[in-house]
Order: sequence, then C-alpha cells, then structure tokens
Amino acid sequence: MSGRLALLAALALLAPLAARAQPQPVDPDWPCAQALVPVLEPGAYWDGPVPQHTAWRDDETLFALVPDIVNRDTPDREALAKLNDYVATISPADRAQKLPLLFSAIVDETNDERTPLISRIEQLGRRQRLMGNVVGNISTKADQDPASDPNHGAITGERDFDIRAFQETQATMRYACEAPVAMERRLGMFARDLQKKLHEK
Amino acid sequence: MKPALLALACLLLASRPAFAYRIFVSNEKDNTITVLDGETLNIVQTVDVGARPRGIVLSKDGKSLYICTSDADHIEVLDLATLTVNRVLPAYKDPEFMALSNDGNTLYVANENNSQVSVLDIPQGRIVSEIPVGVEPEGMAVSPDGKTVVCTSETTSMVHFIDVATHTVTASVLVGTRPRFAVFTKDGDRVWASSEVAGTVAIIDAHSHKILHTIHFSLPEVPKAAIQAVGINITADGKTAFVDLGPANRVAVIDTDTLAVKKYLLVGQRVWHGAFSPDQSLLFVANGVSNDMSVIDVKALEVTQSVPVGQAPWGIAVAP
Repeated sequence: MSGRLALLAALALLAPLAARAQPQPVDPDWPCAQALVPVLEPGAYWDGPVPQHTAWRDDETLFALVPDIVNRDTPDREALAKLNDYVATISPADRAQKLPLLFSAIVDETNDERTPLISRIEQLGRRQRLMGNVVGNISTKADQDPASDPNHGAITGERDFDIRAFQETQATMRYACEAPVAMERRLGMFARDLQKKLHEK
Repeated sequence: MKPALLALACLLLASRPAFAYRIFVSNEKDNTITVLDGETLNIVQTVDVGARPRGIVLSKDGKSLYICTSDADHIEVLDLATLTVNRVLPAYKDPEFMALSNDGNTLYVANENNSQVSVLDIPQGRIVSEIPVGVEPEGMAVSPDGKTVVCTSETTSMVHFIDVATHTVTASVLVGTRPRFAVFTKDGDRVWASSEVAGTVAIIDAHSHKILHTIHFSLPEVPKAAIQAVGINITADGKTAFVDLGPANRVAVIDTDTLAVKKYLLVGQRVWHGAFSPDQSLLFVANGVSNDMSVIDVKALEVTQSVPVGQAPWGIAVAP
C-alpha cells in the first residue's frame, strides 16, 4: 500500500472516532518536534523552592553578570567560570539564601532572550503552514491537463518555485528549533553547578 | 600449544573485559549508540550508526540490538558481540519506535510519516504487512500473550489495539493529547499509555478497552506545559511505575496499587525513556537536552548519578 493510500485508509478508519475526539489543542504554528514550553520556570531545574528575584537588575554586579553569562555568544566554559567567580565572593553561610535568587535572575534573563525567539519560530511555522496551502493549491492547478490551460507552463514554474521555497524553509526549521533547546541546556548547566555549590561544605 | 601462544591467549582472555551487563543509549543527534559497562558506568565504546537513531530494542536472545535509524529510513541490527552493525532491515519512512514479538521473530514498527505500523519478519528481512493506524504512530507494545499489539498515534491522540492474527485494528481508545508510549502490565490486563502534551497517563483495560483511570501530575513549581509524560517503566513485581516527565526534568514514582504519585525525582533535562538493570535495583533514564543518563536507585528512590553520553540521548536498553 502506498503511503498516501495508507494515510487515506487510516483517516477513513478513524474518522468517526476522531470526530468525537476532544484532546487539548496543540499550537498549529509551533513547528518543532518537541512540544512547546512557552515560559521556563526555575522549579523545573531546581530541587526546592526558588524565590522570585524581580529586582535583580538593581544589583550592579548581577546586572553586569547575568546577561553576559546567559548570552549565547558566551561559550559554556567562560560562562561557568564567570558564574563561579561570582559565587566565590558569596560566603558559604549566605549561599543557601543567595544562590536560589541568583538562579531566579538567570531564568528571568533566559526567558527575556528566549521569548522573542519563540515568537520568531512561531512566525516561521505560521508562514510555513500558509505556504503549505499555497503549494497544495498550485500543485492541484499544475496537475490539470496542460492542453486545457495556456498558462500551464507558468503554473508549473510557479509550483516548482514554491516547493523549493517551502523545502528550503523546512530545512532550516530543525536548526531554528535547536536554539531554544540550547538555551534550556545552558540553563540546566547553571542549575546543576549552583546546586552543587549549594551542597558543598 | 606453544608456551608463547598460550601466554598470548591468556593475555587476550585476561584483557577482555567481563561485563556483568551493558547499557545501550541511542543518541539521535550525533548518530551513535553509547555502550556502557553496567557495573562501572564507564563508556566502553561509542558506535556509529545510521542517521537519527531513536527507538532501540534488544533481541530475545540478547545477542542483537535493533535500532530505528529514523532519518536513514531503515532498521539497523547491532551485533552485540562485535559491536558492529551487521544487518539492515527495511522500513518505511521515518521509523521511530518498535516492539518485538514474544518469539523474537517479528518487529512491529511505528512509521511516523505514513500512519501505519509495519510488520517486519526478521528472519526473512522483509515487511510482510502494513496496518493503517492514526496519524504519527509512535508508542508500540506487545501483550504478554503475544496476541495483541498496541500503537499510540500522536496526532490522532489514540491508542490502537491490533489483533496479531489478523493484523487489524480492533479498538481505538481516545486518550490525552499526543500519546507517545504504551506498555502492558505483566498480567496483560492493563495498558499504561502516556500523553506528552496532556501530561497524563491513561490506564486502559486491555480487554474492554475502557479507560479505568487517568494519572495527572502536579509540580507546583513547574509550569503545566513542561509536564510532558513520555517513557514508562514498571518494576517486575508490578508494584512501582516510573514515568518520565520530559522538560519537567522529573521522573514520577507511582504506587501501582493506589495510582498515587509517591515522589518526583529531579533528573537531567528532558527525560525521555528508561530501562532497568537486570536485577531491577537501578533505573537508567536518557535525558535528551542535558546529554546525560541519570541513574535512579529503585529501592531508595534517589538519583545517585549522572553519566554523560552522546548528543540528544533518546532510548535505552540493557543487555545482561
């Protein structure tokens, strides 16, 4: 059975059940394989409570440090070294109180960088979804008998161009989807390092 | 045998490590299988395989590992004696996950891109049947009596029950959004199916196909969208289930009698799938974002270690 036939058969088989289906909606514009987590929260990375630290930008040291280490242009090793240099200035007695606040600030800054990125990926997904419709329509026209339409040559040219544009965007999608993942990975790296420091005697 | 040859043979035998068991991790981004010694948790070897290895299953004789190499559109067979891929089995586009029949001769493969389960005869090395299911099939499991296969379809949000004798879907059960994994209980009476977007686990009566219970997860400090249920491992005594919660970075521990969550364990990032050690004292889970494997002490219910593996670890199998 060809892929298309299998898909049609599957849809026919499942249509009555699917009509009754009421699963929660998935964002149609989110193009990445991994389900979207719109906002990162400290609790996903930290064992124990993390108080919100909304005023961290008022602290000159943190204001200089946090955006620098969250910045994706700063290599992991350099970012960790800067974080550790700062943590070394905090006395062991103060760490239980200050390290969760520091992590809260890092999550806050990561979200500030990540949120516009998520929006751009959603825009890309939306554009691609619409482009898929365009490709579908123009392909239907191009599949018609060439003799019936004097513009058939122009239509197939347009179809080929649209398909190429769609495929090129699709190829970049996987890379685009990696960017938020890289930010989450970096955040996890900071969390593990800070929690280790927290438990050091 | 000459003394020199005897000495050489002894040296070779002595230098060959005697593994109690080995752990295999598929790394979907760097196209490798990481092989670890189960006792020391040291990496023994990293094996290059086809593009995007995801679902992995051990053969019944423990001599081979079947690997869904999704972007290569086939299934590779890793010989565990030589750690080389010695056979390639056919698949349709984008095979993601599979389950092995109880006699070890048939693989049921979820083909994510064409909405069907393919039935692969391993000795013949060919697909003998295709079973239409819902859109984006993924989770696969075979019942203990071998008569039923279940398949989850992500987009259709269903668990499909397939009769092995006729290769037809006999029931489709609507569950939470994007079901990704299913497993039978040891007695074959229930199917546990996880739903990634809904963040739930449905417990389905395998005979009546009714949902008996839905497990919800709640972590006050973690956003609901991050609680994405994926892999499930149930202990051999059937008393405890471990559910991997994706980007919540937790494994939920469930008492299977009360179906209550006993504990949430903080593990690595985006925890996907897991496997027990042969004596069931440890559970190993693959963390897709932090590129490591967390080690859980099953009795103490504590995370004891994190072991770096390859890029984007996905599946785990343990070979005694």
